[in-house]
This record gives sequence, C-alpha cells and structure tokens, in this order.
Amino acid sequence: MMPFAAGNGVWRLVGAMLLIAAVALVLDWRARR
Amino acid sequence: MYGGHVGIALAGKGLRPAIPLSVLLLATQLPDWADAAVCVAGISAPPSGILSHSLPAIAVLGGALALLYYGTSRDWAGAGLIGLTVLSHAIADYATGLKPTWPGGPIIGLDLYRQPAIDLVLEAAVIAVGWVIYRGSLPESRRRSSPVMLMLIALVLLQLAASVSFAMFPGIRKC
Repeated sequence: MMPFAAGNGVWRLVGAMLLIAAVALVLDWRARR
Repeated sequence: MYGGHVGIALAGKGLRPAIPLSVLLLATQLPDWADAAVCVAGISAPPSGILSHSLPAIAVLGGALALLYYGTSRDWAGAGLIGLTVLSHAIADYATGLKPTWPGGPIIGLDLYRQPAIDLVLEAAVIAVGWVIYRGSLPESRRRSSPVMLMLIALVLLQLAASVSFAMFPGIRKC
C-alpha cells in the first residue's frame, strides 16, 4: 500500500507508476528467460 | 485508470512483440509522467491536466514518442501502435476520472474513481484482456509458466491496493 497511501501528491503518483511498471517488466523478463 | 493502463501496454506487446515492453509502458503512462513533470516544475496551468491529459497534449506526447520510436526502429506500424497507446491513456482516463478536453473545452468523464468497486472490476477486466493478448507474444511452452501467471495475479492485486487506497483517501490532491 505504501506507494498508494504514503505521502501525497506527485510522489504518490510516481511511486505507484514505477511499482506497477517494475512488476510488469521483471515478470516479463522472467517469462522470457 | 491505473492498472488498466498496464493491461493496455501488455496488449500492445502481444500485438507487436518487437516493441520492448518498457517502451509500451512508457507510452501508456506518458500523460501521467507529463503530469508529474508539470507538478514538479511548479507550472500552474488550470484546469488540472490540461498540459498532460487534454487531447492536444495527448497528440503532442503521442506524436513525439511515436516519432522517437520510428527514428530508432524504422517501424511505422510499431510507431503507430505507440501513438495509439498514448491515446488510449486519455480514453481510459475519461472512463475512470474527469479530464479536460482542450483549452476552454469541457471537462468530461465517468469519474468511476468515485465508485471504487466498479473501477476495480473495469481495470481488472482490462488487465485480464491485455494479459491474454500479451501471452500471444510468448512461446507456447511459456504461456502457462509461473511468471506469466504471476503477472496477472500481481497486476490485479496492485490494482486492488490502489482501489482500496482511492476509497480510503479520496481527497488527496495529485499536485
């Protein structure tokens, strides 16, 4: 919940975007190994 | 929209496997990155989102990223898909939020964020459809592998966390 609930404003948005993009990229990388 | 944007990027990967997923993720999140940049730069341009989510802003952002991709890949179809992926961000956000159309134009949207359960169902559905299309970019033998199955579960759980957060803290301003 941290990126979604911690702090406010723009950093919450940036954290949430980075988190979900990182999850997708890591799992895509693992899927193609 | 949050997780649904990533679902759209996954669909793009399934449709055009040659495009790196990182580029599609940038495309699908680009208006939100632009929004963050406008905020950090301290630029005040009401209404909120006019420089990142309005139709002219989407045309500039999508056109710029598509041209940049074409410059490095010489792939017109891929560049077009990237432009459409940026455009999809605005269309998706008109469903879940309230966004400006053009300078002086109306602010429109279904504002599903006010109904987090419906938003969750919609975004999970977009993630699921995108994931199904994404699997087509993988070799047959990998389509049921753990990372692929975990991708769907993790993205839906992240969307659930975001939806719960929106429900608990509805008033937090973006900038």
